[in-house]
Amino acid sequence: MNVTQESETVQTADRAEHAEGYEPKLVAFLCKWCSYAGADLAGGSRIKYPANVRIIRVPCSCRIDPKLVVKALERGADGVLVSGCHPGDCHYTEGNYYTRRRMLMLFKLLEFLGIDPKRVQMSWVSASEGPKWAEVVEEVTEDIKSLGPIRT
Amino acid sequence: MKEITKNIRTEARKLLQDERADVVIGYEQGSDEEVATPCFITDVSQVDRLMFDEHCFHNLAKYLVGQEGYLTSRFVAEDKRPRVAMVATPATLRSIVGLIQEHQFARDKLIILGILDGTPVGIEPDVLVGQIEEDQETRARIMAQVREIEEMSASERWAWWEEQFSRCIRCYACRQVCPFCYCEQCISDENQPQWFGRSPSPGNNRTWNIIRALHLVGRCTDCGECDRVCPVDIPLSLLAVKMAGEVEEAYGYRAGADVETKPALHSFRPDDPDDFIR
Amino acid sequence: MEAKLLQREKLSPLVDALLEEHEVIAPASDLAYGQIRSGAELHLSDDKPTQSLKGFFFPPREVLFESRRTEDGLQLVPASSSDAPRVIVAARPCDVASLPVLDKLFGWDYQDSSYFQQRQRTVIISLACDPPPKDCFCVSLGGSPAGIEGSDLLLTPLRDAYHVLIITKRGKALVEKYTQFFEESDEQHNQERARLEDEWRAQVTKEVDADRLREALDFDSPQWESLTQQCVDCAVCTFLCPTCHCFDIQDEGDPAHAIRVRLWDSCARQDFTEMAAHQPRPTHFSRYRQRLMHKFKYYPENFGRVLCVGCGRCIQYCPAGVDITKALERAVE
Repeated sequence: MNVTQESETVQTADRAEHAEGYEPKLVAFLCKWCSYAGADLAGGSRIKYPANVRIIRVPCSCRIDPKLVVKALERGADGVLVSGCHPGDCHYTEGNYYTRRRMLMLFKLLEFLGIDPKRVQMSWVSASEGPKWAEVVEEVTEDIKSLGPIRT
Repeated sequence: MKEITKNIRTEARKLLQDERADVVIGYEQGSDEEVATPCFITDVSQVDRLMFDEHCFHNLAKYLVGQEGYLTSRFVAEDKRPRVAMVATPATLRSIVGLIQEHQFARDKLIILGILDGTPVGIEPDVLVGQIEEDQETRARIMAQVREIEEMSASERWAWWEEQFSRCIRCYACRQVCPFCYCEQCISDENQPQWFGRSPSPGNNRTWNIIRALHLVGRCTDCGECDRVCPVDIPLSLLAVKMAGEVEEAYGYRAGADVETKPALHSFRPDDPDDFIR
Repeated sequence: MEAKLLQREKLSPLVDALLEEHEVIAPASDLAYGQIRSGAELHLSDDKPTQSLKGFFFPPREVLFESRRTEDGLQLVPASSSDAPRVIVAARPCDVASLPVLDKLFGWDYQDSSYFQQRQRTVIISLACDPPPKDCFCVSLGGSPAGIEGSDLLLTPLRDAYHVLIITKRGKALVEKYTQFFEESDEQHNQERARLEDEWRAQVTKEVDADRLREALDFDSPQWESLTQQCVDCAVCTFLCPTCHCFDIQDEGDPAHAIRVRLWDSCARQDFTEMAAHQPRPTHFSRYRQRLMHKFKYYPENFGRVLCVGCGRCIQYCPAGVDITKALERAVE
C-alpha cells in the first residue's frame, strides 16, 4: 500500500492548538470470535494499553460496511480500527477474506480524497493474542495522535 | 451510424413481428437533432422511431433493474414480465454483464442488439448491429486527471475534493442514472437509523459521495453517465476510473469483462494483498 | 415607463459602487448565480446559469433552529437570516418572474418569514436574453426574453449601451442614488428596445398552451403510463426549476446538540409521499403525473398562476432527454 509520506491533516492549525493534552478518539470494530476475545484477554491479564479506544463488537469483521467507518469519522472519531481473525481462522470460514478486499479499497479511496489512510487501520488479532491487541492499540493511537484531530 | 440505425430497425421489426420480444428498448430522436432519448417500442408500427447516433450515450441497462425495472419490477409478477430486447452500446453491455453477475436477471431473459467498439466486453450480443469508434480521447483525459490528483499532496487533494463536493445539491441524478444503484432503499434515504443527513452540507455531501463511490467499487463499469448528468459538474468519473484501476491492480479484475466470474468484492484469493494489515 | 441608458463599460463600475453598501448576487459562473465581491466577477454568457435564483430566497439548506441540552434543560436558539440590503444584478427575466409565483405559496397558509425577509431586502436588476437559449418557452406562459415581471430594473442590451427600464419605485430609487452611472435615453432607444424584444420573442420556438392544459389535463388519462418511460426520477428538473418548492424538514445531530434544517425535496423521489401505511405514488408515472398536474392544473386552480416560467432548464438538463412541452402535448392528446 502506498502510504503517503506526509502525515498532514486537514486542520494543521488545530493540531497546534490541541498539541497539549490532545487525546485522540479511536473507534474499533472488533469481531466477536477473535479480536474481541483477544481484547478481553488483554483486559483479564491486566495488560495496560491506551484508553483512547472505544470498542464496538460485531459478529465478524466482514460485517463492517465502509459506511460504518465513514460515519465514525464524520461523527468525530479521529481514527478507526477494524480487527478480525487471521486468514483461515474466521469463525464463518471466509468472512475476513472479504473484509481484507473491502478495507484495502476503502483505504485507497480515502487516500485519493486526501484523507490520511493512517486514520483507518486494520489488524488480525486472535483470541489468544492479548498482548498483540495492546500493542496494536498503542501503535494505532500513536499514529492517530501524530496526525492530529480530524475535522468533521 | 445510419447503417446501425437500419440494422436496429430491421432486427426490431423481426423481433416484434415474430413475437420473440414484447418491447425493444433503444433510442429515438429527442426534441431536437442534438438530443437522443431512450424509447420503448412495443409495436411493429413504431419501429422507425428507433435510431442511433452520437448522442446515444444513455446507459439503457438502468431500465432493466430496480423497483420498476423491466426484468425485476416488483409491480409485475415474474411470469408476466415482458420479454425485452435492448440496443446496447459497449458501456451498456458491460453494465449488463455486471447485473448478470449480481443475479439481477439471467442472460436468457434479454435479447441483446449489441454495438461494439473494440474494447473488451464480457458478453456475446444476440445480434451485432454495429461497430463504432472507441472514445479514447475522453478516457485519456480522465486518466490524466486522475494522475494529476494522485500527484497532489494530501491536503491539496482534500481541498480539491471539498470544492467539488461543496457544489453537490443532493439531486441524486448520479444515483438515478446508474444501473448499479438498484437498491430498493438507498442508504441515503434510510432514516431508521439515519446514516448521514440529506441536507446539502459539506459534511453530508462528502459522506454521500464517498459512500456511493465505495458501494460501486468493483461493480462500476465506468459508463460515465453519472459524470455527464451531474448538474453541478462534479467529476464523478474520476472516482470510478481511479477505483477501477485499484481493483485491477490488486485483484486482476475488470468490471464488465467476464460474465462468468464473481465480482471483485464478492470473492477472494487466500493470497490477496495483506501487507497493510497489522 | 421611465427609461435611462447605461453604457456597457459602466456596468462593472456600477456593481463595484453597489458593493460598497449592498450584498451583490449575479451570475458568477456557468453553473450558478453567486455572491460576487467585485464587478470583474460578473460572468455574463449566452446561457443562463444552470441553477436558478430560488436558492437566494428559499435556500437548499436552511437551519431553522439549534437545540442544546445543558444542565439547565433544553435551549432552543432560532436561526437568523441576514437583512442587509442586497441587489441581484443581471438576473434572467424567467428566474425573476418565478418569484411572484413563489410568493403565493410562501405567503399562503403560513407566512414564511425568512423567505419574505429575503424578498424584502433584495432589489432586482434583470438582464434581457440576447439571444434566448434554445430550450426556452417563456413567451407562451406570458413571459418574455425581455420580461419585466418581478424586476425593479430591466437592462436590455442595445447596439451600443444597455437600455434601462425603470419598473418599480425601488428601481427608481436605485437609479437616483447611483445617478452618475446613468444617462438619458430617448425615443429611438425605446424603439430599438421594443424591436429587439420582438425579435427575441420570435426566436422562442417551444411553447405550451397553458389554458388548454388547465382544462384538459386529466388524472385518469391512460396516456400517463407511457408518457415518460425514459425518466429515471433523478430530480434534476425539480432542483433546477425556478418554481419548484417542495421541501423536507429534518433534524441533524444528536440529543445534546442538534439543528433542525429545511432542505429541498422532490416529488420525483421514490419515497416522497411514503407514509407509514402506504405509498400512494409508488410508480414513476404516478409521480410524473403529479408533477405536471401540480404545475399546470392544481397550482393555477389554487393560486391563479402556472407553476412554470418556461426557463427550459428541465429540458436542457434532463439526463434522459425528456421535453416537458412534448410530454404535456401528449398528455392531453
